[in-house]
Amino acid sequence: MRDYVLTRLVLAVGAVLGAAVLLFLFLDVLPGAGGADRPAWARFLGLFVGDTGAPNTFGERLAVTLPLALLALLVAGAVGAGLGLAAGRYRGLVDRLVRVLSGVLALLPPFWLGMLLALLFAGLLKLLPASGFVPWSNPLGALASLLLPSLALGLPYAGQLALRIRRDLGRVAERDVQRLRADGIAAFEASWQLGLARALAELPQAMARTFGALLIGAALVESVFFLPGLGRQILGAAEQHDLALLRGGLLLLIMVAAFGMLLLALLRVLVDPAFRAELRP
Amino acid sequence: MTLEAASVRPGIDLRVVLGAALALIIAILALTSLAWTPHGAASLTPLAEPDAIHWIGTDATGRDGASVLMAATLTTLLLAIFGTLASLFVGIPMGVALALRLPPSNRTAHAIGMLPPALLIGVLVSGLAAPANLTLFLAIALPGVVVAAVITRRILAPLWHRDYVTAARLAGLRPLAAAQRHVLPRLLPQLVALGLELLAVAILIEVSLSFAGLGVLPPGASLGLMLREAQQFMTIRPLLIVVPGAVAVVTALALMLAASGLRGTRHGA
Repeated sequence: MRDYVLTRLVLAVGAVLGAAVLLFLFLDVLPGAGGADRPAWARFLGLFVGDTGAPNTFGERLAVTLPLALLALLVAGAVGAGLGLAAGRYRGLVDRLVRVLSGVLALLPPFWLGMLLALLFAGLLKLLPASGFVPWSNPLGALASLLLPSLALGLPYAGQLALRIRRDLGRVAERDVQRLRADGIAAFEASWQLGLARALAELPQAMARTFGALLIGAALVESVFFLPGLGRQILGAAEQHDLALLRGGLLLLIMVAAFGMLLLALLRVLVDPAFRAELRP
Repeated sequence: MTLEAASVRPGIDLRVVLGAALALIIAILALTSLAWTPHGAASLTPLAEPDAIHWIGTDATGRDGASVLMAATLTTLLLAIFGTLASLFVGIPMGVALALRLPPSNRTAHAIGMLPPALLIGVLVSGLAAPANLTLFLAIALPGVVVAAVITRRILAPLWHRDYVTAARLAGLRPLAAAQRHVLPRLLPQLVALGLELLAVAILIEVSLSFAGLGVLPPGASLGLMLREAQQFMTIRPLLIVVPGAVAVVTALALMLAASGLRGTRHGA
């Protein structure tokens, strides 16, 4: 367990430092990168605190992107776990349906799904806001404007997660099943329990990877729904070759992703039966 | 389920036939655009309503939607194929080297995991004012190489360490000959499946990046760019959004279906 925790920590710190060095090398050696009046070390350290050498709106941008990614994570986790567990519990027809549905969901580009959802719910049914963002001073309005985007962003990853959970549920060693059967547990129940333990142990890392992907993928969904998020700002900076804004925004996004992924991956200490056994004196 | 447990089925899997047929039809329609499209580049009323002659209407610059769609599909397919081929040419030898030099590992990868890194690379490279084709190529090929190497290593390692391969080598067969006779027949379908999966995701990467304005730019035509250009007219001409996206998704699904048939496993996409 100590190895696991240490590995996660080193990976998170390494990812942030590596990204910072890469971004600095690629986006600061070129002319027009901005902020050249300051020494190089100040520009490099400024990256970590969101200082781009000019006033920026990273804070309020992140206040849109992070809740969007968290809501999408909720969607992906709930729908994905529901589908995956249903497939593992009810073999046969349910399993086949889940496999087809998840396979299709996993391949839908979130931004296109967002357009379809906007056409359906905002266009035809006129139920939900199709675009724009209500500031957080009106919490319910803000949540309502994030509802369709988080569905669009989360559902494809729910498909990926469901396939993953379904696979983990089936990855059970025959020997372990035999041991439980020797204790008098029915064959299906034995492999279900073992599979569940396995899936539960793998879930935190799967969720961590999903969170990273959601945070990065949020940019396109923000463009579809005209949300003033960090991802959309980064896309705009790339289009206008505003390198100072681009490297600052990208590193901020990567830092938030690395931190969130670390926290989620560390949840394994709480849910993995093998780790919990180690914690007990 | 381990790879050893996958049964080798006699005959051809139905999924391969269905997926390959669908992908081929789309590819042939796209290729046809080189010689013929329903309305060519004729300028028509912009954003005309769909009718019997213009199946999905016309776009904002007055081109027939269906004609643009055929040409756009070709661009998307070509960009995806170039990126995928580069991934395979570099990634497979890397995977082979890893499988032979290092102990077997449980590390695995999925082609769909290429999307987030592709987006990051796309933002970075296009921020440096690289040409659109180079951006897309790098965004597809760099994550593709990693995925191809990891999957090749994962497939090859257990095949190479089979008892019958060891027996053949102990009997005096040279490594390359042993590989050709005993490993390649099992490896090849898996590698083709890998290529199809990478291609499917490469299509999605093109669509995503071009939609974000990081890929193909006007006056070119690609599926992602069609979505980008039609976005502001989404509510009045929904077909211009629905159809190009559906073409991309159906192509990707067909390729994934064929790949899962080739792998001979009962896993989904």
